Amino acid sequence: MNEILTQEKSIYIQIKEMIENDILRNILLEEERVPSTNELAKLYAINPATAAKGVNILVDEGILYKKRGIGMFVATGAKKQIMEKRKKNFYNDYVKSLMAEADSLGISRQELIAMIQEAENEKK
Amino acid sequence: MSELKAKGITKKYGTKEVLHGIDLTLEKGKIYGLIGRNGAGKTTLLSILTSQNPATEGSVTFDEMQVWENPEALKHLCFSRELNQLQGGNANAMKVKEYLWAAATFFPYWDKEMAQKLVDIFKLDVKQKISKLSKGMCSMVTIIVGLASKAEFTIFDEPVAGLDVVAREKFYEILVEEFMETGRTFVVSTHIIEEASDIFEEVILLDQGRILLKENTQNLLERAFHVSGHEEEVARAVEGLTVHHEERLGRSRGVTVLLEPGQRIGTEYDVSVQRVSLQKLFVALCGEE
Amino acid sequence: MRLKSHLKYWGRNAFVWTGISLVCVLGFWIMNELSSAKYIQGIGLASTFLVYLTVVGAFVSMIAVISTFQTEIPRLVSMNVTRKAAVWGLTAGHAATALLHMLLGILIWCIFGIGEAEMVVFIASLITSVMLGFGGFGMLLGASVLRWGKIGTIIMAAAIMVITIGISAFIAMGGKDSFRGFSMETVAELNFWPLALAMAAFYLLAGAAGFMLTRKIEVRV
Repeated sequence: MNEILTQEKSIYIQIKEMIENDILRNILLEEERVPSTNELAKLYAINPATAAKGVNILVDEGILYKKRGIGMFVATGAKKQIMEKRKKNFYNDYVKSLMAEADSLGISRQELIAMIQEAENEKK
Repeated sequence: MSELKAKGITKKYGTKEVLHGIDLTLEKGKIYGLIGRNGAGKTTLLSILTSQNPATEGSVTFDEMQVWENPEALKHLCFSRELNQLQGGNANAMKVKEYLWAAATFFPYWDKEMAQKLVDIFKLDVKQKISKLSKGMCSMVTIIVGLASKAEFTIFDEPVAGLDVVAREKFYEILVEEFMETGRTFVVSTHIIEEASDIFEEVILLDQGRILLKENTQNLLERAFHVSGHEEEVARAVEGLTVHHEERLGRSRGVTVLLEPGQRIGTEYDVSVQRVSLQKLFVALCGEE
Repeated sequence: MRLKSHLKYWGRNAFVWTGISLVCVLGFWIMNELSSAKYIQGIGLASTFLVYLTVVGAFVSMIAVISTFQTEIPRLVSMNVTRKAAVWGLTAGHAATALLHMLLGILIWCIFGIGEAEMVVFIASLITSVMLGFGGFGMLLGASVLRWGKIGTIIMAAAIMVITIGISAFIAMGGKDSFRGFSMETVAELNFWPLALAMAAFYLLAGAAGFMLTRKIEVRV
């Protein structure tokens, strides 16, 4: 949760992603309370409306839910949901741009696959 | 819902017109940032909004009431600005604590405890004479007055001038905390744009006596981009778009664009597209003469 | 208009300025005690004090009102007091200061003089006239400075010079001596009340003029 905000993305999206990351890393467990928008605003020195915007996206996606009078909670199955969403985005965010970059450098498909294999070998 | 509304505000000094027919509505429960170059008219506009300065034309209303010389409207407002340290005579001898006493006497919702708490946080010596204060301490006094006034609509004119970075961060922190607790409307005019931009829900850009834009900060930044690359590629990518602040070095070219609804950047061309900070956007829009 | 706030603020002001005058009078008394008996005891001494207090009151009126106009009225407006309330607050405040000076004068007479009713009436009317007159004048000047800035300051400086020269000339030409020989009877014959009333009217008009001049002033940094 205590990452620094960058300028690369809208702040409310960063808030959203940070909460997602924390859910994936088991910093926030399912059915546990999430920091309130006020606490988030205070922590990051941002306008509470911005923090709320990020949190509300997660509520709309079903990753968080609201318990009236108490606060926001992580929904059951949220971790799995986030993983699947990110897997889908992996294709667009990483794979496609990997191929575009490889193309601009003139790396053929075979070379690319060979590189992936090499990286895999290095890990072992 | 309470609104501070300016309609058709024009201000002339002799033949020189410094504000041109400004319309502005400020809503309750938001933190606004007002940015603009020196001489753009920020202080003049803010003064007019709070009856500190009469408009040449136009009107300012609060909750449908006229603001000018109207105690009923004024009791909900506070304009906290730089203290005048150079006034002669009686004022020179005035101490900070007397100034705060005057503020406590006339601001109907003044919070004495909050004022004292802030004096302690900022380690302000209230026995000091106003004329002897450093610029930073002057800023602290104006911050204390603005916050402790507990006015529904509180306007700060350059509150962090002279404060070091730690004190500035403290101010933003206290401001947001107060906002979260009370929902007061704050308008902060500042030159130190970048560090303050995160706390502004909406930003108002004043350029040469006109409002260039008034928009939710996040939304604004989502439609501002810096496009760079080979000058020919950049030209193709931004065709049809209004281009601001061009940078050139050899064949390399960089421009800033602000997308209107329906517009897009031609990312199929070989260009780098990056987001822009509020400060860089401001310079791009208002930097050229 | 929150009356209590204004009473508090201007009341405090009135006491501060009266305090200053009191200190001046005490200083004068100490000086008088330390020097050899230059003044006739009894009636003479009280009269001397009175003259002194009146002169001090005159200066206080001018200085207090002008400086208040210049510095406190803009400050009050910056704290959301309407211009109207600020000017009328000042008007009432200075009238209160004049009242306090008058009481101070009566007190002095009671201590050093004989305390007869005619004397009290005389003192009251004299001090009232002087302070309201000078106060009104101060208001016109102060408002001019606020309204017209530099030009106003020049007018003000010129006016103060004229007044100072005038008073000095009056004293130099033996005006002070004429007070020395005052006996109770001559003094009792003087009736300053018409003058006091005239000055009061002038004062109120000056207050109104002060407001008219500063109706639309800007509060500047």
